[in-house]
Amino acid sequence: MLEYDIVIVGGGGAGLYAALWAAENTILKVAVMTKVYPTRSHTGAAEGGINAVLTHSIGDSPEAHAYDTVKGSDFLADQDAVDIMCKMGAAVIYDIAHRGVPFSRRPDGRIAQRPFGGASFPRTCYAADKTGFYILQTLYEQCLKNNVTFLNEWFLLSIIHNGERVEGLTAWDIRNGGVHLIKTKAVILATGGHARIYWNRTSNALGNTGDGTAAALRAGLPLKDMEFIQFHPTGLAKTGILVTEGARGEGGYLRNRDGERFMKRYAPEKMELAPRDIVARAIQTEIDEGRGCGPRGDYICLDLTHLGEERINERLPQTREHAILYEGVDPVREPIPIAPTAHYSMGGIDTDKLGRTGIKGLYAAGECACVSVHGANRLGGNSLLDVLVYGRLTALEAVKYADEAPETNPSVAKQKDDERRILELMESEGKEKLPELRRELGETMMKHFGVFREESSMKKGLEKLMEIRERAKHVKVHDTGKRFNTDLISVLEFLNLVDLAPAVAVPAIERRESRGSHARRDYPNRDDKNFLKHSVVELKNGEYKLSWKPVKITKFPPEERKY
Amino acid sequence: MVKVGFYQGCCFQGQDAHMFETMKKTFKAIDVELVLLEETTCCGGNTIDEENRKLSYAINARNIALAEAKGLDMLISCNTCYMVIAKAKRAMDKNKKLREEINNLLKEEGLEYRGTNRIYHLLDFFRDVVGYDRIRKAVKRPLKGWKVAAYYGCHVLYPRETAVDNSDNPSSLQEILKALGAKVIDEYENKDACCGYHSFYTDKNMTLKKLDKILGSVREAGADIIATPCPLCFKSFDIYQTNMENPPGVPSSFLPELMAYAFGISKEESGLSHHLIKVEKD
Amino acid sequence: METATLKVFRFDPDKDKVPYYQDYEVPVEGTLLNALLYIKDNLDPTLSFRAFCRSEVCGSCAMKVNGKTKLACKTPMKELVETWKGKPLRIDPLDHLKVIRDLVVDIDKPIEKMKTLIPWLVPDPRVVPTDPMHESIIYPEELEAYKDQIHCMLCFSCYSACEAVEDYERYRGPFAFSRAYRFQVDRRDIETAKEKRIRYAISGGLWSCVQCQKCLYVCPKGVKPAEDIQNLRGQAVRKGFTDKPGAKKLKHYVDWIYATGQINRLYLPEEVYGNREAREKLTKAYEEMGVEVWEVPKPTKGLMKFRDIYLEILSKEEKALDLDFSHVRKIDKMVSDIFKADICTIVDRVHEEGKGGKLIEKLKGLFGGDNG
Ligand SMILES: Cc1cc2nc3c(=O)[nH]c(=O)nc-3n(C[C@H](O)[C@H](O)[C@H](O)COP(=O)(O)OP(=O)(O)OC[C@H]3O[C@@H](n4cnc5c(N)ncnc54)[C@H](O)[C@@H]3O)c2cc1C
Ligand code: SF4
Ligand code: SF4
Ligand code: FES
Repeated sequence: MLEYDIVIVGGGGAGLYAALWAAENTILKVAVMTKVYPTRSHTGAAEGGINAVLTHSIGDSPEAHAYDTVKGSDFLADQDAVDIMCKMGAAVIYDIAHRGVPFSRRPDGRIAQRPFGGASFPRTCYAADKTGFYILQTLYEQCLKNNVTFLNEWFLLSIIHNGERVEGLTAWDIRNGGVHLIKTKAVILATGGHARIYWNRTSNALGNTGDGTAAALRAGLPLKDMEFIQFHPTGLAKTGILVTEGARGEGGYLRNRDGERFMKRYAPEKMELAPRDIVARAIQTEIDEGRGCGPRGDYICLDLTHLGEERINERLPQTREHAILYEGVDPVREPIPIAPTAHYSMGGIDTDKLGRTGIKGLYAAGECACVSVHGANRLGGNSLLDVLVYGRLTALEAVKYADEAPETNPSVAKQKDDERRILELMESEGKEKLPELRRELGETMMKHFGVFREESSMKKGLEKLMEIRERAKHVKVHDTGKRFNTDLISVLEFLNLVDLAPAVAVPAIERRESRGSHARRDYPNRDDKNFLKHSVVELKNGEYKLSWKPVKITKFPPEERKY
Repeated sequence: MVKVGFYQGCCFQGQDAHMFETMKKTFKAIDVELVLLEETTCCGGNTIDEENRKLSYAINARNIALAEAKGLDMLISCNTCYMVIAKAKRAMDKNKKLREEINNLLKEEGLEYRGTNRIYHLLDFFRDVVGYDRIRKAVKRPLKGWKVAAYYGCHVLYPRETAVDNSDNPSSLQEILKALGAKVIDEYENKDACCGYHSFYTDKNMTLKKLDKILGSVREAGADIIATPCPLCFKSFDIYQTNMENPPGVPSSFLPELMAYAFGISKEESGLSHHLIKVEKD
Repeated sequence: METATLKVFRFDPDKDKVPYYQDYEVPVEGTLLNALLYIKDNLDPTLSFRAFCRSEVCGSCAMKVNGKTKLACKTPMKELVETWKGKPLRIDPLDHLKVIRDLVVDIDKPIEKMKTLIPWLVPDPRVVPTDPMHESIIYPEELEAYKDQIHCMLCFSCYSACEAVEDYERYRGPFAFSRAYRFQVDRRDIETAKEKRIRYAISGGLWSCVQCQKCLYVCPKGVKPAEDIQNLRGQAVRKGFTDKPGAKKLKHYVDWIYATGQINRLYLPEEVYGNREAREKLTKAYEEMGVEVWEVPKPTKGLMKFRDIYLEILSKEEKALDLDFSHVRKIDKMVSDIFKADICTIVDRVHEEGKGGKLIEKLKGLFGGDNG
């Protein structure tokens, strides 16, 4: 049995930053467990930037940032948490800059900031168009410097707790095979988002399957605001791969089949720079109403041609590369075909404003957590901030806790259980095929729980999801090897997806209003009287139980969200 | 008759001075007039870059400008010179500031880098300007029965930006050798290994290991001789091979020598008989 | 639909005694990664390979196609089919790394090797404020110095393709040098760390790189390890690590090119390895073959102006070595002894007098014919 004081599950931005702060602030045994090598985590794909009010942001203030965040969240964010996050902005930015993140700079040598959707001030710090990549690489370097222990290519299976405290974990060692029991006093879950429930129509990596969130759900922890999935307006038409918001930030236009800059009908003032949900819905509406481009009218054009080659190369090199490689279009010459793509999970493991869950010693940070600082809709550039702020806060909380916590004594039952579960998967008769079922899951989610939603369709969708979840029990792992069994991992990931999808569907049906990313055709307006509250889903005896929880409102009373 | 500026580098000097005469004759046979770019200097051998990269760019911007002043494209026979000069050209073309700065220096000599000429290596020059057909027609003494291992060398294939052929699966050298009537051997184990020329004076061991691999696998593949379009790879094979503990004694040749010989120029004059490791084949 | 055959390396050390190849027919569509995912979904779920971002940012999916290192998600199938002209495409795991299974290799070793080069920022407290609310000022131009190196995503393509790794166990790997160099040119990094990196780079094979440029070619992110290795060598020499052969070779180049516009291959063995014999032997061997040997290269026409440019740049730029004028004077003397005139006269006269000139006449024997 492996033994640590703190295990951080996840080696993305949240996990590494937590590891770094833990490593520098304690002599306790800390390990980072991650299913892919840390630098391969999805944080590395974040392009646009990270929001923060810096000391030289004259005219801007953490309050203004908080207000924009709350407004962007359609007033569903907890304002006390937002306040913490926005006030820590400058501190985390300077900290990572001091550690080597090559932020782009203004001529006077200070960190450059650019405008981003939904922000009243240009406060998005960026490093060319690879912000997340550089942050991830730098954090990794710093972890190596601090001799952080890594369990690379280990897959979290289950969380073990006694109803009060966390006791340990079980995990699969991908490289050698085998279920391991890990004893630990504290666990920080930083396993990222679950947008892969939309399988093919997502900007996320193949492995963003919400493993930690699903494990938490199965361990009896509540998930919060799961109905809120952010659709990024600009995914490449063929693959869902993202075209950064920076492309619009730098002045790109959105045009429909008539060449019209249609955003003027949806957000006359902010135009292309309106928040993501508004732009995504505008695009979906154009497509649904027959003004899409292409032979099937199923995409919209993102036009960068007027920016010129030099500017595109300087500011958006990756965008250009991806458009050429995955869409076959050079944005210097032609507009890029784009359509909305599932991008970010606002919902996740229910935590308080310091990242604590209801179980002592168990924390969640980053995209897998729902604090909530993003409410019904996350602002571009706020996620990386959330990732860092909560990575750091949970690390400090975990250190404090683990310092004093009693020894734990995780039972081997869970390990045996997981071993049996895996054996069963390999021995199943295999009535169902993983690729097909996975495709069905994605299509169901996109069709019934996509950009626009509606009661009857969603109900049908939920039925379908439950059916898929049932059928998923008959998926077989064909590969019976122990070593690097990617077939097994794919199935385990899929089983997590099918557990999470209904957790999105159930509150989506019950939230009979439109708020943030949750846009209902049958309830087009926000309904603060009945729904200014967080949804909470729990899995009890195999059933998804929904309840509600109040929103923390401090400074900013709800108002209409207009841009 | 095509006229092209010939960049000699360091490989047509000293004991190799006679080779330029041979080159001239050889090229005449395929209707090409070589005009020696006599004021050019050493390209820095990819070593001056260690001293200072800008110096390397300046030296080679000057070399290119000398050809431009004559209104000639530039033909380079050495892989390394080719790569170093082509890299400098790319830098000059892409970086306006650098170009201004270096042109300011060249002004004194009455030179200016304008980026107007093309830079060829032997391989793309033969393929694109001369054509394999014309080579075939010039052959008077086909290399019948010669089993020749084709060896490109690194700097014509890598990096991507300056490569003269498909770097993964090149064909020009085989085509040329075929045109000369040779039987080409291009599937031997270490055909893509580096010749080790450049590490001879930084880590000699590395060179000797490379030679051992390449020449060993050439031998295994049953070739009579290894042919390369690069005079440095050739030197590594011919001269450095003698530094090996147990030299396998594989003869080698610089591509133009084989061409000269196939075009009917005497073995003596072709250079083939001036190798340390004797070329026995006739 | 157009299809192609992938011959994929299979090996599960738990089950297979030896590796074998398995053929799969895949559509020629999208990238190589698409083809592998197609196999996994439709033909054989037991094939193991790594992939995550599918958009060339995570560095998971590097492998070899017919021996050439490729990033699967960056390599269009069409391009492969065109390059290999319908030949089957043999897919292998990366070189120089232990195979865990099929296309999955163990990358811990190169990461450990990289760690020995201190590839992280060691902040200089005089530049990086210790106060976390204080910003450190970095001018945009400063970022230029390491703008390529920071793109490295640890895909290990370069490690697989590297000629030095191939033949030198301790060699740290192209990417490792690039990632280390990135901090050598960061003003925030402390001098003592920079010094150490150089020391460790030297013991990690800095002078063993053969400059084949394969790392530049295979890097999917435009990192230029071979050039960073040159930069590091320059730094090493500048910091006084001049005892290695490579440093002496550099000195030869710097001095001789300045002096004559050319290097002198005859003198390299003795200036680098102190080996006089080599020159004598080679001279003798050539003379026996009837080839004339020049002691020194013919000084280039325009040499004096060339020298001006050379000096001007070296006087302004950061460089590895200062020109050694005493060496240059020695070379000048060699030249004037042979050509029986001082260097300026030679450069001018050789070229002004043209073909029929007296000096040329005198030199004919040395040059062996008309060299223009
Ligand atoms: C294309 C794209 C662009 C984006 N751009 C921006 C932007 O510009 N600005 C912004 O603020 N946000 C952006 N985001 C959002 C932001 O990148 C993510 O929300 C954030 O990076 C999530 O970080 P994380 O650390 O929570 O998770 P991740 O970076 O996803 O890391 C998750 C980690 O958990 C590990 N893990 C997962 N499951 C398991 C398991 N079962 N066992 C063990 N380990 C496991 C993984 O290996 C990984 O290391 C973008 C997102 C995408 C998809
Ligand atoms: S140039 Fe040097 S570092 Fe790069 S691949 Fe060749 S030997 Fe390796
Ligand atoms: S330098 Fe390039 S090829 Fe090498 S590991 Fe880094 S990204 Fe990969
Ligand atoms: S899958 Fe991430 S680089 Fe190819």
